[in-house]
Amino acid sequence: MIELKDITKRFADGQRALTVLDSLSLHVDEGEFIAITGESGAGKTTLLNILGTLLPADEGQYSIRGEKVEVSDETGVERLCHLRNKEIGFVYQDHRLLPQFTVLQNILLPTLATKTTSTEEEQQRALSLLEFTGILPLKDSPVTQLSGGEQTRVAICRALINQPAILLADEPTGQLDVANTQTIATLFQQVNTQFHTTIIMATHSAEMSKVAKKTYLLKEGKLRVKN
Amino acid sequence: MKSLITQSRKHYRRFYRLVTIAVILMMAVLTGSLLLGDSVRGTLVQRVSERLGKTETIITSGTGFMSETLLQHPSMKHSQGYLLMDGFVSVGEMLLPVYVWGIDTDSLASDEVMVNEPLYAKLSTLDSQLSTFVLHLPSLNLIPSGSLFVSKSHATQMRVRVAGVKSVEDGGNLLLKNEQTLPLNVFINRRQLAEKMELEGKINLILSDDIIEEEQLSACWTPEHSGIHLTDSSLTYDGVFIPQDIVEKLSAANSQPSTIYLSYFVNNLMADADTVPYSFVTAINEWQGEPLEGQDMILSDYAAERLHVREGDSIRMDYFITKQLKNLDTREKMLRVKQIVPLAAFREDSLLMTDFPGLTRVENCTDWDSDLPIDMDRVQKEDEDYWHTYRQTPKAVVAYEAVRADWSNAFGSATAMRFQSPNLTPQISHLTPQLSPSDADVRLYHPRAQGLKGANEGVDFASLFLSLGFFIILSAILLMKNPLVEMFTLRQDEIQLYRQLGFRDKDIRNGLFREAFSVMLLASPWGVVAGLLYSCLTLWLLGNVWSGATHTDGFALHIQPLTLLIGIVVGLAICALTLWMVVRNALKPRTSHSSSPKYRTSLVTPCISLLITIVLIAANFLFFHDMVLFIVCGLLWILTGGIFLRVEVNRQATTSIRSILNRTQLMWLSIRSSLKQHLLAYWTLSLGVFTVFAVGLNRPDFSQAVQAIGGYQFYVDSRVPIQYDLNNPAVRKKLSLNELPDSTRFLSFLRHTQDEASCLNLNQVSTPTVLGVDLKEMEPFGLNTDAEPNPEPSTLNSQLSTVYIDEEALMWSLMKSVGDTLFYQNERGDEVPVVIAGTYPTGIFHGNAIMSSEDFRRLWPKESGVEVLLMKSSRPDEAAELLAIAMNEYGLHIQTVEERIKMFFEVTETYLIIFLTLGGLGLLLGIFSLMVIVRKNLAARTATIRQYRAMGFSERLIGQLLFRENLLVPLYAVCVGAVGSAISISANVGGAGPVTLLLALAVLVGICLILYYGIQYMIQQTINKQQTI
Repeated sequence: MIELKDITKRFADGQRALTVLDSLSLHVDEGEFIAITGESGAGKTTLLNILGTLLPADEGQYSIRGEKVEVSDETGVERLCHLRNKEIGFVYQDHRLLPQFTVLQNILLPTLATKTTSTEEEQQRALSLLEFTGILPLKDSPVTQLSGGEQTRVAICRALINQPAILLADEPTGQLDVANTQTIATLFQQVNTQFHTTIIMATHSAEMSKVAKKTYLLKEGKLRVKN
Repeated sequence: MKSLITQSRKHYRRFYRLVTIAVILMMAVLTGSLLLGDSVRGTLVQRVSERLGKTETIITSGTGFMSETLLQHPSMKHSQGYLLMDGFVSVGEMLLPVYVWGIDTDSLASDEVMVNEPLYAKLSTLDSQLSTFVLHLPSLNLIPSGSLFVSKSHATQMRVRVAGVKSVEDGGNLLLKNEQTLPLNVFINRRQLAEKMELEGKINLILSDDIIEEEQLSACWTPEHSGIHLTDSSLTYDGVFIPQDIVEKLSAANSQPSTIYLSYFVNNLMADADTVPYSFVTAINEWQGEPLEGQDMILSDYAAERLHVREGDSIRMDYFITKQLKNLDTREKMLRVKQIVPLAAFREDSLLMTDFPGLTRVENCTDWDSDLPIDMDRVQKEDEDYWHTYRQTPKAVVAYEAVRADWSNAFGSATAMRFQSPNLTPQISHLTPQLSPSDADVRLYHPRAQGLKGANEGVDFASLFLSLGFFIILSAILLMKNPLVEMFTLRQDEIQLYRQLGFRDKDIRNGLFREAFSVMLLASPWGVVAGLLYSCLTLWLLGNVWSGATHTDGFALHIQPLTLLIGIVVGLAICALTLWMVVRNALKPRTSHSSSPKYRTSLVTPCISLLITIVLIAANFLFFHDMVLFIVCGLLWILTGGIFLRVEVNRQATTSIRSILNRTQLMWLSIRSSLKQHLLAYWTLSLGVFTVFAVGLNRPDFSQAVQAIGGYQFYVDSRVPIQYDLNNPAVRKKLSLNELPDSTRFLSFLRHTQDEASCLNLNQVSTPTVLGVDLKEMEPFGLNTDAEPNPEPSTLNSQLSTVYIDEEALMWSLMKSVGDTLFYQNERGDEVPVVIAGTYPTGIFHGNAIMSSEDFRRLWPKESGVEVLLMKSSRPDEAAELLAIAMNEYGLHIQTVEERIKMFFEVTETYLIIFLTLGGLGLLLGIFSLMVIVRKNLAARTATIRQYRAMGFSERLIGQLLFRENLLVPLYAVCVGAVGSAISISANVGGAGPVTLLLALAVLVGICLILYYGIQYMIQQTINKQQTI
């Protein structure tokens, strides 16, 4: 489903260029759940951003379902936005929930990227996701009132609202305690099994790594399979 | 610590750059405005020195004159005598009113004059080659021109050569009036001038470099100095008519009855069919020791012979009397011949004969020159013979009391007095002390203190420019506050870190305060420098481009260290206060919404507010038509707009919770999340637009002012008082005005010249010039006589005079209100209360107090000539031209009423332009501050933008969403502000012409475009910064 081939990404560090990803290659099958570990600054977030089409690679090829991900013109940009909206969901460590909106509104936000109004069906789906994640009673609450675990669940719901094929998670439990980490880990596992969503997760957490079917170590710009 | 602060300042320099700009701007406007106040005040004070030179005491002689011998007294050692008169210079068709100063100089020949710099500059602009011009002088006589028997009241003229320019240092700008405008002065050799005016040895003004007190003046003054010829046995006066006060004083002082003489020129002495035309008759209270009373007449044998009468016979005497403006009326008096005496008996008493120049100094009766319509056909050979032999020897003597009321005038009630001296003691030593200089209208005052008081208490330009630049200061504060807020928001982690490290909030606050305040301190000197530049530029503009507001040039920068210090301290205090509030706020614990906040969503309040506004507007339109109420309505409208915005945002955002989400609701929710900042933007912009447009468009309605003048088309200012009623056909014939269209009407005004109280005078004024007129004639001018005078208790016992003053002069120049009392000096030198009884709309009489002619004559009876006229005619241009030609010796300045009103309106217009300029700058600064707020909002939403991107929102869509939520409120604010300003000017829609309205519309569109593109640009910048794909 996802194919990365010889991906290189460099960042300017003063006068010199810092190579974060060095001819990195990765193949992820549909419905696969992989975890990427590595030291801080190893390039996990960069890799996720490239996978999430938020960052272009300097070199190499990236394709999803055999289709190349690249930007050649304005149409290409629009196409990537559409791809990101429909096929990819994001969960971040800091959740990135918008404080001005309620739980339900935050979840429905991605539905407005391609049209002006969310549909009844999407709202029902959002409610189902809330039920699925166990936070349905909080649907009209302001997100600022939620706990860290609840916020992560809202972020997961939001990532799933458009039923994406790929879910990218960047340290989703980085701010959570062990109990909550376990709950979220289970939730990711359920998402993977029930919705057949391909999950690529960057994490330091051993608990989270355990629920992944495959774990990679990102070191010196390259991925190595850990188990 | 110091290096930490320096490092932080360096790190956050992009914020501090804006703070520096804001501090410089605020400091510049603040100190600049204060410096402007000092500079204008300093210039006015300087003008006082320029116009007075070293003069400490001014001694004037009213309508009369003083002998130059007065200057020989030791008290007058440092004094100069002048003959000062109003004149005018004609260059081509242009008439320039000038002050003509007869000065003691040997350097000016008879046809030479010196002019001061302003006049020279003016003459040079009219004709660069000009070396000579015609100087017109009012025909000054010892006998006041307002009295009867004097015809030559208009000007004499002389061609003069400009021999030099008298500099300011040399007293070129001498001026006795308390004004800052530079006078146009002509200096001429006093002796030559006196010779020309037949006033040899006379002066009417003494300027002394010493402070001379009343007692000193009284000590050196003698009646002879004022032309009062007091001998042991008699009194005569150069001005012919001896003032009533002197007559009464001397009569009372003399233990024996005095004989009072009053000579007159009568039309006829008639007995049956016999008539003696045009004779001098003298009224007297006793004849040869016997009282002369009632109808008694002593007749000369010459007259008795011509009239064929004997003692006991009756004689009819008829004569002219004058009412106002030498309008003649004939009176008859039946008299009885008590005694017939030889003509020699009359000739023996020289006091019976009086010298009326136009009548007595001629060779033949046919040469008589007076105001009286003398029918020369009635003058017979025997009359001429009498004249050749006996001149003004009276033909009869009548009882003084019988004719006193008819023959007396404003100038006096006697032409001579004789004192009985039974004990042969010298009367002169006894009587002289009874007279004081003020009896002869000789008065002194010390002008410097008065001038300095007027200058120091004049228009306060510091307050004026602080008010005009208030919006800039406010915008600068916003501009200072917003980057600080933005910076401290970004530094929340740093603040938390300090707390974690064990710093107390007080320490953190002090540290942050010191860091930011050090920037403000460093910026403030630059602000002061900018303030100096600002005041220099404004002073230059006030003297040039904006001279319409001041009619003054040559403003000089006067720096008062104390003012500078005050400006700096106040500026830094504002900076410190703003910073303290921001820092305090930054250290407040962040509130996480522990419970759902309650949002007000009820439309009841905005609806009630809107209803009140609409009802007030309608009521004002239908009933009150009050401008202030319209402004209040405009402000209410803006308040309603603010309340509505708050409620509507909450309503829309709250509704969205219960319904399906859409992009519009996204916008409302985002606006609600930073409602405080959006409301700040709303108030800033709406009030800014309202203020600038309401003031800019609220122009005085020129057409209304022009309509409210009773159809009069011309305002005529005469340099020489006109002693005639120009509506009188006989007068028109006499003045060659008989070709004026019959429809031509004049409205005449007497004038008591005092301080210029119009907006053209920057000095504070206590007694404005008074115009005397029949108040009934003033009804079309909107005189508001409804107000009840409320005089000061001290004035209650006096006979009250009242005046009406135009609204603007009352408010701004006099700083008084209706019911207040002004104190004028009457002709006797007494201070009399004059109550402000009402107002009239500002227009052609701006700066003048209007008084009934009755009150005017009571206070200043000698000022009987008309100096201001209004004229209307069916053929106005023709009438104006004819008037200018026929009365060219009066130095008439004829203006259309439109021109005159425009002159005053120009001042208001210029102030409005200044306000618009500064207000516009303030508004631009406000918009810039708003942009900073938008930038701050965008900076705070980086995470949101990233999330939008992650969710697949395209850049364009993110841009659109941000654009809508950031533009909606500013555009709404501009619209509400514009509608509010439109409401506020409803009372005066005609004031702003179509060009102004179009300009305003263009500015409005400009503001919207600036907002549109400015916000769009910043959003694009923000998005671009985070753009990856």
